[in-house]
Amino acid sequence: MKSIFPLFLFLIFLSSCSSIDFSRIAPGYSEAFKAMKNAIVGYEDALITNELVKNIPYASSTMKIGKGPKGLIILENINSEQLTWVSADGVFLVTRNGRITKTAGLNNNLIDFNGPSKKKYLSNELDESTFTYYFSYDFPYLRNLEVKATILNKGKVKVDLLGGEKLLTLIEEEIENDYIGWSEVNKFWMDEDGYIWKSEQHISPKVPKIILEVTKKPS
Amino acid sequence: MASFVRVYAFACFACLSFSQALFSNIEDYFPYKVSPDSSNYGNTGLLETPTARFMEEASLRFNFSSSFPNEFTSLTASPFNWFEATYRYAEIKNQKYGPFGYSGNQSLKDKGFDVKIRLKEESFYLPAIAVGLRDIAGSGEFGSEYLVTSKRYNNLDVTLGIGWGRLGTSNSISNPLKAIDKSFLVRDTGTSGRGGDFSYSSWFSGKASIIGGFEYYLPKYGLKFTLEYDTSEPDSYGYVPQVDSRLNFGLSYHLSNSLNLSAAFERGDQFRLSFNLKGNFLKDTITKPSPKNVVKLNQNQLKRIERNNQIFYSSLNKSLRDESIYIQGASLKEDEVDVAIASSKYFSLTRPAGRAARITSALSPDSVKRINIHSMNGDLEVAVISLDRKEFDSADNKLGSSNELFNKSQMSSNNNEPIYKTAAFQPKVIFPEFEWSMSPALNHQIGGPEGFYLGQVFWRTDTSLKFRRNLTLYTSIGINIYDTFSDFDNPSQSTIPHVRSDIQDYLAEGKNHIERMQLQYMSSPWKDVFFRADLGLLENMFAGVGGEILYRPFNRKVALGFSAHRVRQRDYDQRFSLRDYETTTGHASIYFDLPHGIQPKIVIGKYLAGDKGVTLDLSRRFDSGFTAGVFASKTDLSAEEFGEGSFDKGFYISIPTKLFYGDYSSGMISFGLHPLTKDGAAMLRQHNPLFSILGDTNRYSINRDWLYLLD
Repeated sequence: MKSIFPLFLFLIFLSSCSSIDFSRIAPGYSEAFKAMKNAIVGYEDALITNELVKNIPYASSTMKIGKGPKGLIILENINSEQLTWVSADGVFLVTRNGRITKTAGLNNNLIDFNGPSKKKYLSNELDESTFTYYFSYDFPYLRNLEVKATILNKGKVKVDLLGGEKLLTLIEEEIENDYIGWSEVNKFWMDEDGYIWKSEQHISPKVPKIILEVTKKPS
Repeated sequence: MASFVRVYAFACFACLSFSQALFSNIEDYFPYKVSPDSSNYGNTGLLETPTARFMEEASLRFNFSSSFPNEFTSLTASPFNWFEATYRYAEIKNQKYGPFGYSGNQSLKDKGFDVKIRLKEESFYLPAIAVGLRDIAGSGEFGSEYLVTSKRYNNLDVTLGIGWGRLGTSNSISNPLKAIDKSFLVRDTGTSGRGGDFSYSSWFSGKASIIGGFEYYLPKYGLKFTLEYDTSEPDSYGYVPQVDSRLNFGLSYHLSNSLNLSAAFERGDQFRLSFNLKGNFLKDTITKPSPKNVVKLNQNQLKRIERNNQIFYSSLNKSLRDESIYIQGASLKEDEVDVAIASSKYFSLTRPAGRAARITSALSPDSVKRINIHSMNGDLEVAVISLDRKEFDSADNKLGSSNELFNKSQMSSNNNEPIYKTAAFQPKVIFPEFEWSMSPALNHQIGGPEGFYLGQVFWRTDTSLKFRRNLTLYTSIGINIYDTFSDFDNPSQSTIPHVRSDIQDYLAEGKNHIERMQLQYMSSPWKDVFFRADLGLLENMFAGVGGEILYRPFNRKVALGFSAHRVRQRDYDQRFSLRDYETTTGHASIYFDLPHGIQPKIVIGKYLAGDKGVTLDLSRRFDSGFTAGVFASKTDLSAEEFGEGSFDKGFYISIPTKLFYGDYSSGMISFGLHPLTKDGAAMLRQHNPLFSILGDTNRYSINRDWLYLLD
């Protein structure tokens, strides 16, 4: 009987050698590896080109949440200063002068943001200043989380955007709630007119960093 | 002690006095979720002291806790939010397992099983109350019983209770249960001759002590501080004669919501280090890809389809393939369309059915009013979901609800007349069809006297060769990579046929083995009746011929099964030769589907060693697919004939792999534990048991998973 065994093995390998299908080798383990890789390294970004953006008739930005893939969001609605953006997988964002003030479709959503108007907290002339913001969330519900913000003007930096390189003012905003031990740094890149082209924002202790980059400015 | 009671009373009073409603939900926003966690023994508690706290429903926790002399490795599950069960290995480092010649220098290992039940939930004024038993069916080394109360005040969680047994060995009070019966005063301390018996006669008897302590949470830093008053003795052998302190201190750090590290200083002179890993499997929390966009056909294209149905079938085939759904047959009729589908990607039946219906609806001519999805598992048609197309489309576009769709849908099962046989479109399949997969795998034996863990890593190759529909040859072979089986030195002493207890010989001699090489035929002769025939090398230890029949009425929450096999024992090398032992084994089973996913199963019959008896299996299946269960068998063997353990029992857990991955998969990670490999109440391990294929296909399962239809 012993002699049959290697032969049997050989036949199995022979019949499959011609086209080894790697998805059949340790399928469970390779799935686990993929999941682990995504958790550690993050997802691969979708390729977003200038062509693609130009061909879409609407204003657009890219959005990346934590280690998730970078995706395109489209401007859906303008209501005076408030812009509503939507992603293909149903995430809605409302921004006011570049700052995220409301979200929907995430696991934990910002339902209200209360802070001073943009003129006060983001301006090219500002050197350093402190403010108080109030964030409200759903899932789990929390009303008015008080956050202290300190704003610093870091001066002009070159930023590589999809449409080309731009010289923008970097404004850093340190936010902190001492009680829950939440402290983060938000970054806004702003042009001469005060328009925010790129930002890195923390909207909740439960949502990882969101990176927004305007790919086509609303007209 | 009185001062302790006073502190507790004060703490309870303090809860009433202050209320910090302002921060009522801010706790959820701390960076760490610091919560009650594992005790040294595995179930939720302080260190030595249990609390009235529980894990969330559908949680699992692995805990490792090391000190001198006792080291604990445990697995705790919470099938309900009011119930925790723990299985544990204890290593008692200052004791030897047995004589040197038998087990060398190996220290004593002890298996133990705990349960804890909540009697009352915590309310605004009153504490939570729980009762528990520690080490109930083992040697009773750590045997204890307790009644505890826990009350939380902001970040302080205070526990106070009474402990009996090991927990009541020091600073005892008089047993309060003596008021019920004087017999509670005396505890039968001798462990029963055989481990594995429930020694209920000694429960809650003997000396009792007040037990208690508190935990203080610092969620901002992920820290937890524990202080307890420990009334237990460190070991029953007197190797640690004096305890320096009755106070134990602990500090734990929640590295993440699933990993926790802790250190403790106990009894004034012992350090303890622990870590635990936990997971909650109530819901699938990882986002999965949503269905692929399907573009509706325009009028021109629809006209072409009406003229030539083949275009419809081939586009249907192609679109379904994109979702890993494989068309098995389709018929486009005047006002309805039938599609038979099979998919090995999805865990539930409704999700691929919904995705298939969405694609079918996008491709169908306007005259089609109903879409009938015939779900198949392998070559068996298991259910038909008949959907009103208009209702489906509006629910799919979020204009209608899934309930409205449900009310206008019909479900049935015409399994004995599967559509794939008569469909207008039948995809060409070339037989024989060969499938294979391979991966590393493990074999192991835990807790034996030769070594705590003896194991093998081997490379497993599974193949299936399908000759025609329903007739398949399944093969599974293992090639050794590395093993430690040469240390085996514990031959079976069983006095009944060695149907399972020669496991060491099978593992040691069958390092390269053929686990299975069996021909299987399946069919559905009548409505709701399914049949399977087996021939060949059926499992590692037996070869033979037999079959199974299952009656699964589609509209009932019950199923009946019957299986019978004539088998002969295989040689230890697990190739093609056989041993002399031959027997007929068979069982009748009844499966129930009770509310809350509780699934009892009763099996009656003749087991492999010729013993006759009954097996009870009780499990709970959560909507996520996570299942936890226990089983126990009693046969006509006497406790002496059965040996250690007295009767067969064990537990199992299955976790769908989709709960860990970012895509759907139908795989399961199963973990079962038989504390002892015994010959009594041993069942033949069947490949493709019919209930595992058909258990989740009746009306109630479809109803339960209905929401996934639109997902």
